[in-house]
Amino acid sequence: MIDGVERKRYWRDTKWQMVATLAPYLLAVVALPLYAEALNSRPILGMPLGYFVVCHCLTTIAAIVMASFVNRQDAIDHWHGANEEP
Amino acid sequence: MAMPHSQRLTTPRTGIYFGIFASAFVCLFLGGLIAEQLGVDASLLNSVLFAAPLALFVGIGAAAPADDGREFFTAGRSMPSYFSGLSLAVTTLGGVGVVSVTGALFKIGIDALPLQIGWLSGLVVAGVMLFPFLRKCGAYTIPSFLGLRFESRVVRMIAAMVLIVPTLMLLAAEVRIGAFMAAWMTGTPEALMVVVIAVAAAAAAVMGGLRGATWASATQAIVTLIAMAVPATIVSLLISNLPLPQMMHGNLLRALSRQELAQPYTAHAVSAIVFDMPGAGLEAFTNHYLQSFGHVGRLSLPFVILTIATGIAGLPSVLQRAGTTPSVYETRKAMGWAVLTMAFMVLTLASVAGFMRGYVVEQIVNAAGDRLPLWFQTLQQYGLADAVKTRASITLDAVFMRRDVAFGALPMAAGMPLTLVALAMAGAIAAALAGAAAQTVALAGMLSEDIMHGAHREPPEDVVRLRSVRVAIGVACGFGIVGAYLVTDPLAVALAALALSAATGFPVLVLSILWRRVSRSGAVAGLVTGFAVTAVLMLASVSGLISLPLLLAAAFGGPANFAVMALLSQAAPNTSRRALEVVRDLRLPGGEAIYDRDMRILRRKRATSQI
Repeated sequence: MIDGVERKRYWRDTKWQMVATLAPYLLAVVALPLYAEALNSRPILGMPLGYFVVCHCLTTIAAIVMASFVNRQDAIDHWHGANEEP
Repeated sequence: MAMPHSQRLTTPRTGIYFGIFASAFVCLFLGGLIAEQLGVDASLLNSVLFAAPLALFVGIGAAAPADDGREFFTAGRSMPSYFSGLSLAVTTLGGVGVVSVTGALFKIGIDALPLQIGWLSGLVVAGVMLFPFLRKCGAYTIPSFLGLRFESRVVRMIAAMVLIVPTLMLLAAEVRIGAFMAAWMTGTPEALMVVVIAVAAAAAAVMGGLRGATWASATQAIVTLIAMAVPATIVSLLISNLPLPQMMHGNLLRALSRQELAQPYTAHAVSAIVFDMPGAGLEAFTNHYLQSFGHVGRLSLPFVILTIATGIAGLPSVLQRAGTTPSVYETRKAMGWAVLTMAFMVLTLASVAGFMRGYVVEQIVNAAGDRLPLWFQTLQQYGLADAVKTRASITLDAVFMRRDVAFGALPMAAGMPLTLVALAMAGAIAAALAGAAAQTVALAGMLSEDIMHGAHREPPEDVVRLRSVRVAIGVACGFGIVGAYLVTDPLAVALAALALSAATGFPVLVLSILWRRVSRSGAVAGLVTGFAVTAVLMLASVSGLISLPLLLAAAFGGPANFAVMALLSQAAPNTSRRALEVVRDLRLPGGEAIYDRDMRILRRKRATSQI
């Protein structure tokens, strides 16, 4: 069981990890679709750029963001000794 | 050799069981392909391909009975993270996501992409902000978590009362879309299929609860993935020689947009707050596939995405699955798998919509009225499509198709065998069953645990709990049937449910974890305000008093919920020591789940008092 001071540090790092994960992702999710039509005149990999950004990039970003969050949060757990006992 | 901790705690040989199921399912459809070539009657073949997977799903759910509350409500906390994530992805998407959202994309093009992005983002938001903490708490239902967090039975019961509404709406929508696909597949009346789908979903869950539903939904996820990937991959091969529909449909869209430039469309320059999805009936195509802001206004676009995301993240049927994995780390991993699976599904469904639109433009537009392709004539016979020959040849604005046919019609349009058409429909029905079973379990849990037993200081014995929740599953099934008969547009009902979820459950859940000082009076006021504001705005919109899309009502209800909760918690702080301890505990991943610990102490106390 970690002590009170370490618990506060752990929660501070966890909160920042949440913000660092969600803030850029949600901003991208909200902002990029607004530019889809304007970008569609340019092709990338044979498809309209705007469609590629909204459909392919956002789904890929979501998967990467989640995988990164799982790894980073597990590292935070270990740094502060808050991880589950093996 | 010692096994890792997480593997010891999960159900062993799960991969083997699901592998056997996937093999049996593939064999069933290969047998169907053989039978089709041998001249077996099409209606008999369709009936077998509908009934056999349905019986397998119900059988798998019934073969995983639960003996105690922990098994029933949390699947014994023993689901491996991958299968938990698979199950979560398909139940979150459901039949509405597979059929109706794909159909919306097919009808209005990239204006419907915010729906898919919102659905996916909901899992990301839930995975980061809620799932690990709900797993640590370990409560059986979401209102039960709030009751434990605020140490208040009033909070628990009010939360149950407001969260039952979106859950019931989603149950009705899932049953309705499943019944539509089943009726189309088997040629039986939709009213009969409503009962079949609702009863099958309840039957898969009645013996094992979340355990049975999770096992069944993992198999349904496998069926859905096969059903969406196989036809899309074949079409991709036919069009581009590459089996990558997720990438190759993008190339088709450039050619499609050039062909569509000559089409006379009607929807342009809408107001900034419009959110107008295609309805479930026969409607014409009204805008270019790659044209933005024909159906969703610039101002409403961010609110649409955020409302759907927070609505998904606040759904009891999604959040209750946090407890099915052995640890907090496994829960996070399950969310990672769920997002990855959902991303794959979203890209594949986008390819289905794009390919289907391509077939419509290529084969119907500019065709003579008496030379329509056979698949379109079949849809016309079923009343699912029509074309008005207003000019010398047909233009796209004179082609009328029902939104929800896109997923099932793609194999037909590509000229695939009847068995592959049935495969696509079986996949859609499997997704609807998974969604319906998840909503049934969530609804029954809230009715039984939080409404019936929520007023008591201590939960009853497991025998009583299991008996009452099984009765509640029957009641939820009945509600689902009645609700499905009232639903005319499953997508509209599902979006309204997400708006209610976003405005009621999500703000309270997030603040209850992030802010220690949220008081129980603040939580009650927030729940009631969020629900009331959203519901009143929706009713005013439906009755024509205001012109506000139903989904955007949450843009007022959600902030109102946050504001009232924060103000009241600041003005009248009444957080108990026990509530503060619960917050402190649930923020740390290590150690026993809080609810499991409470139950262990309660059992020991009861055993001591008996002695």
